[in-house]
Amino acid sequence: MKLFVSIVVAFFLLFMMACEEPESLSTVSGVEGILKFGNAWPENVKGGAIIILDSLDLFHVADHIVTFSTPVVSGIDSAEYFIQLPPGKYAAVFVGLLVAPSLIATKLDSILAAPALPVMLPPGLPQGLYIKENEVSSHPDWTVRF
Amino acid sequence: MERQLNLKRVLILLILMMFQAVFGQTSGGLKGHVSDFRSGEALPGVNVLIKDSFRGTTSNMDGFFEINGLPPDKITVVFSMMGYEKQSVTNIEIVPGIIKNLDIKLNSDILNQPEVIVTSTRKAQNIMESPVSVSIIGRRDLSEKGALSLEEALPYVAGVSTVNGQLSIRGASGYTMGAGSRSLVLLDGVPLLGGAAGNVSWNVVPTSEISQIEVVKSGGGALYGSSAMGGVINILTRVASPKPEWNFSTQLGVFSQPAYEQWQWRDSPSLTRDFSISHSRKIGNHSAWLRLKSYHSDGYTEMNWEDVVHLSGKIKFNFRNRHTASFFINALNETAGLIGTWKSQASPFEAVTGTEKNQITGTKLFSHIDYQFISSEDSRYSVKSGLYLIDWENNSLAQDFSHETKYFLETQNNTTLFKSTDLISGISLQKAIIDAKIFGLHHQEQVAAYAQVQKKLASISTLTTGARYETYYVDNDVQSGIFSPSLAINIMPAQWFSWRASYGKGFRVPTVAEMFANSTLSIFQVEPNPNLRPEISTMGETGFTLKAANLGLIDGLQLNSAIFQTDFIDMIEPKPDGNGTIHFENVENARIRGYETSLQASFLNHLLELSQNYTYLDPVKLDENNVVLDTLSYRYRHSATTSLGARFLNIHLLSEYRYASALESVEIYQENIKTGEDKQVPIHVWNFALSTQVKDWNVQFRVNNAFQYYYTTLERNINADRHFTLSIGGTIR
Repeated sequence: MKLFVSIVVAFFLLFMMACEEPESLSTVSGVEGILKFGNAWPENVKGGAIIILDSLDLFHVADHIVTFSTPVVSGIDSAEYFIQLPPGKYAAVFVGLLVAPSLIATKLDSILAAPALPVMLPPGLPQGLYIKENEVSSHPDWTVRF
Repeated sequence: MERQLNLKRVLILLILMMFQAVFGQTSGGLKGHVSDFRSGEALPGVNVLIKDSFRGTTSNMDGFFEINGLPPDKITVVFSMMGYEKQSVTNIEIVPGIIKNLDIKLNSDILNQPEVIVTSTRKAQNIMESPVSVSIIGRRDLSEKGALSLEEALPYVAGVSTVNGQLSIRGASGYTMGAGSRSLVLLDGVPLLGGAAGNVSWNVVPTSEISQIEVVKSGGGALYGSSAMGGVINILTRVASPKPEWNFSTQLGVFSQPAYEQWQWRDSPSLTRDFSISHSRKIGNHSAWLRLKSYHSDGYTEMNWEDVVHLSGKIKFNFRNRHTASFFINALNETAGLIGTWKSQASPFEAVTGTEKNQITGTKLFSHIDYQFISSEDSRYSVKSGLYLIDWENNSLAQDFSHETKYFLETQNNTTLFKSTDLISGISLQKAIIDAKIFGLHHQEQVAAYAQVQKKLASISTLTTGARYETYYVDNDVQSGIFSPSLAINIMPAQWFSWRASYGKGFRVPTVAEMFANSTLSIFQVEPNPNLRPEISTMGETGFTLKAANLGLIDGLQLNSAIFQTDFIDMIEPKPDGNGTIHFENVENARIRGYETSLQASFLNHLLELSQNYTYLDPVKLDENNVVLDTLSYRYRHSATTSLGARFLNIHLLSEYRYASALESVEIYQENIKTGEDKQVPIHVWNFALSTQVKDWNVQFRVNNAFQYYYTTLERNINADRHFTLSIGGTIR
């Protein structure tokens, strides 16, 4: 009996040690909308993404990147996007990618560490975003012209 | 007057005769019925013996028994049957002329009966004598889980996890985009891995017709070859019942609306429904069962819907005492939504815009023939052949299709030498022909020979050693020959304790999918790599099993523990190159160390039953000098389950809890610390079930993920929401 009680106690201790606080996924805040491409994609542009910056310091962009949308491949006419963001104020910039979009997902660290980001900026101003707690802001259609 | 006298005499004579009939009898009797305590099923062949006498009988096919001609006395009757606890009824008073009625319910003696397994050494063996760690999922476990798919039940076995349906035993597989499994799945001993990707289609398994599932956790490379490097799961289907019977079962279910308004995605609830009917009977010396099943699910996410029609059957032939054969067939037709990733964590139950109409339609046919011949008391032969056809196509933009045909043939001889040595040897052939849009047209063959010797060294220890040599061909080119030896020992100094240790090599040949995949997945381009080499593993484990019974309030307990280590060389993983293009490559060496323990216990005459499992893994990538580089992706460092069942009269209550620590590494969408996007969270899932059995009918109400805990096992794929089900099943004999 003692052996059994010891085993059960040991099991529960293991549970207590191993278990973290329940941390279920829950609702998030962010911004969503539709990207439209108003003219043909340049040949050297492999894809595109919206980059979110916490400050518009155009000389140190890499230091201010908060996140980016899931990249899209070149040639498409439009794409939905959603960018998860904590509450706050941000600037959003669309960039054309001069490398394969998959590299943004798989080699982001080395891309950010490079002396120059492999991106091009289509004409247009950065867009301001104001994100509230647990709310998804719908951004008006965003048309990109290369 | 004389007439009156005659009448009086007749009356006196009648009264005397009645008196004699009532009081003049000198013996009494017993009759009654014996059934299973849990299921209520009648038990045929139960020994019914009167203690301290030679009188007795056995219960008939319907569980009834009768003993007559017992002299007046106070007696004790003992009921016994293999696999059940012995039960005594004391102080039964035998009264002349009276037949006493007894209704006996026997408890199955799960903890004390020898659990027989057939997979770990390719022969029937007491699980306590197994040289490697094995877990068993019984028919009752599956029934209590209300599981329609094995994928739901397997994570409750110590050391077993699934990531998006992909099986992983002791962390061997992780997630490889469904291409290549490091754990072998067998159905009645015949491989169930598909020909192209080498993955498992869980919906092919006829869950309600399973008699036992054996999970061999320490690689079976020496006996089973490729893919068994990370363990073997053998699903054994039942044989037909001796009496004709119809079985019906239906399950209706509903998924809860998501807990957050932001996530709600449909106006009406998502429903599931399952209906199956089966018939089972003897036909002369032979027996057969046939089952038809229909399943529909609206899905807990937008593209998770599924429609399945499934026909399966098995015929067992008993030609003569020494010859048996069985034929199994399984045909499935399915239409299902094609799941990609979620739209976003703001809408995790919705599909990415533009993919809502993507669907896959497919047909799968799996059949096998198994012939066994006992040539002498010490020797038996078996021949197994299998055919696995998979045809599917999807109507998405990619317009993908695949036609796969896989053949399997194996002969095996089991010989006992000098009463204490078992020699098992065999040869195995496999051929797969694949014609798929993203792989092209290819064929792959595997030829192997294996042998194993198991010798009792003393009455308490068994030494097992074996090896397998396998050669494989792709498109007629010989790729490689691989030798996989193994050595294991089991020491069982008492019936209640056994210790085991094993060491062996394993391997996995690359699948056609890994060598020839050429497709686009979202923003990722996957390109072929026909130069892939097999991955090799060496594995070792040591562990013990302890059984105890009748410890006061504890009816019995079983404790299983093991420590293990597996080293992988040339592990095949999908890797992006400098251009972001993914190839499957022999890129890594890896090591997985771990500890695993499980406890099953039963208390208060089976009123309470407890089951607990805990597994710890340390899965790391290594460089050529064995320096740790990183954590292997898609492996849970800690995982645990606990289930507590309570049984009172015919009512059974069950609660289950499953925990797994958050994934520390994934391949594609890494967590963004600044935004919390793609955050990995631990798993905390609670399930509850209430069931009752009335004669041959059972009803179960079950709720899975009762507290609506949300998590992902694969990035951007949310797991199932709370699911209520009501199941009703019955048997008509």
